[in-house]
Amino acid sequence: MTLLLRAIVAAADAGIAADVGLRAVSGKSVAALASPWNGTSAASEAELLDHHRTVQAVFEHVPCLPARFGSVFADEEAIRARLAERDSDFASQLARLGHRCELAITCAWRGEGAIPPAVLAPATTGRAYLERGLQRSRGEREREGRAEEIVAHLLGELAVEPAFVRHRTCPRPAVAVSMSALVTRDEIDEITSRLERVGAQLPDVTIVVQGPWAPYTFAVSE
Amino acid sequence: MTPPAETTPIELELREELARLRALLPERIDLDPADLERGLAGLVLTLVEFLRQVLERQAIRRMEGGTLSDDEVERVGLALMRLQEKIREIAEQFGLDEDDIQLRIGAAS
Repeated sequence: MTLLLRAIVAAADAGIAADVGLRAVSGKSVAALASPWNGTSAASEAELLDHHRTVQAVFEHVPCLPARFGSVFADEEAIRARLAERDSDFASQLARLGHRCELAITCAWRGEGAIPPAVLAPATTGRAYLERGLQRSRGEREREGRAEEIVAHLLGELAVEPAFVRHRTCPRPAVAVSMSALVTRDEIDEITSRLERVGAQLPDVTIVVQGPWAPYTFAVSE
Repeated sequence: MTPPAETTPIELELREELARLRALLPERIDLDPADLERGLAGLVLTLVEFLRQVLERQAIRRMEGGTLSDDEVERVGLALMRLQEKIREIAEQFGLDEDDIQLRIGAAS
């Protein structure tokens, strides 16, 4: 049976596998935590959630690099070979990221900021069609500009090392900014309340903070 | 040897569009016989809609820049509008939701 990689931990922490119902495959400095996987089953939402819960259970106990769902290996030997190839990289990522948590910060547009495609009347001439597109394009550029301002504001407030923050502006019509920040556990409360204060100052977006999670966005465990 | 020509903004934009297009294409196509036609139709329509959007952005930019005559604005706009209607019509025939196509393009942006 194939194995689904769940997380990478320090070799010294491999013992956690038994506590969370996983199998540990140890390398030189790091260990992979995996579970048996029926290679023929298609990934369902339930399996994705289960993966998240499993990773979270590991993360609650020891520093880890979460695996992206779907990292499947033929057997323990294949995992061992991967660990041998990437041992120093995994060890350095663990040292840098493993003890940090990821917070997902979403700034959703309020009312006027959101794109209302349904209210636009259907065009009846070629010019009207392109003008409607022009109007939409200008709206998008305005929102993009505003989202960049919000990013600058958030980065100033977060005061987190640039390498520990990633963001996308306007990833979806309803969202101005989607940001991931890596923080230490003792910073979570302070940062969350700072973000709440920022949210109260910004009239056009609602800020939602989710997490803490394992550092999914920042770890490269494949 | 001729030095490489400086990359123009149009070339840069086309490269970005090609990168988006690459992200749209699945690494492999699921050849489930029961759903083959629908799957392929979805893929083809996504590509056509993607190209339509690229052309629309170019046309809008040229209209905004004043480099299209009134007649050209009307003709290009009409062609793009009709192409969009046709894509919707074909999508409907294959039981595809236009949102699915837009989402696939959005995910590659």
